[in-house]
Amino acid sequence: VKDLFEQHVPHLYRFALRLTGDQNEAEDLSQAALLKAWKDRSRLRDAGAAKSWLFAITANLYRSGLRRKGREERFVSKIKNTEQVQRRALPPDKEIIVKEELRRALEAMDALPDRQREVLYLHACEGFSLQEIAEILAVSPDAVKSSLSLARKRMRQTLRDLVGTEDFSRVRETHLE
Amino acid sequence: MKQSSCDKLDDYMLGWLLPGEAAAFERHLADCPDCRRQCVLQKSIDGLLAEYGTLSDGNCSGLIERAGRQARTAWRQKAVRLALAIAAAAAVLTAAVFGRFALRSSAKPGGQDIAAAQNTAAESGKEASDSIPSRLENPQTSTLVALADPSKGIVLECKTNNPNINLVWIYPTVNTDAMPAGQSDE
Repeated sequence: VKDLFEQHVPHLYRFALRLTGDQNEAEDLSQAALLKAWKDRSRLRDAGAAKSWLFAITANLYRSGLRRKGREERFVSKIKNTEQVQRRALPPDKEIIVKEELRRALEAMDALPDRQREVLYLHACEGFSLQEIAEILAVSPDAVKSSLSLARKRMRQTLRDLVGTEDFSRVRETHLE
Repeated sequence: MKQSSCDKLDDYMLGWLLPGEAAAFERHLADCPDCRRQCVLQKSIDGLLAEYGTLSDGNCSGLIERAGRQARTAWRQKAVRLALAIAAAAAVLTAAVFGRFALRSSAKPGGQDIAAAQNTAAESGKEASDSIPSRLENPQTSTLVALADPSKGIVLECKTNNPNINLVWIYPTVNTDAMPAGQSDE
């Protein structure tokens, strides 16, 4: 089980980082998720579902943590949203070479509403299916579909200048072939 | 019509359209430069986000170990709490058993009868010399003594399990006239 968890830890940590926007909080959250997963390991019957199961635990812990925080704290965090977006967008490891485009894409993603951000991250970065995302976030597949469409549209609006004219012409040719 | 077709871009790219709808959208795509541009842009964004998903984060390398340590610490704390609870329960049980045993053993030689006699005498207000000897299993141990003052009392010797311990109960008498003659000097 430890090996099974170990291979998903980087993904889990990145998901926690995107949820919390803070490295320390992300470490605490993923650590708490691993601890809970270890305690409840008998409930995991299908090893293939370990990743989505770990993500569901992380999302649940994050939401219950948010509920524990009062409205006031949430209000303060909203005020600090801009700072958080900046910090969240930064890569957790300085050794990682992050392209400017990737940094911008992450910033745009972090500026999305919570649910849209979670859905987009799970779909685009982790490759989960709609059904898996619905299970992880405990929402209906239709809600996931709707959030994902909205998130993608908003991302395109924010990053409309991401692709240059040259790139567009080149890719258009290949696309239309 | 054009607007509704443009809105299907994400459904098309995500493969959510039926084959007929997808074919119709492809025809629309050939005539709509804005949709083509959006399509290219979305592919770029998807590529970047997918790339982020494959990056490795050095910070999380020790998370499993830390979680393991935390789990072990939590387990130890739980074990200590459980051990303390068991020890406390055992102590209470032992005290209860020994207490019951001590009560039973002290009641055997007549101590319980003496205590009962004492209570009865106190409640009824009868003279101790009348009530106590009749309730004792060993009445020959009762004697009458003269105290320093003019009053008198009854001395009851109580047997105990320990040979080094002797218990003597003294009941002062109330009616000196009822005493048998010749025993008032004992």
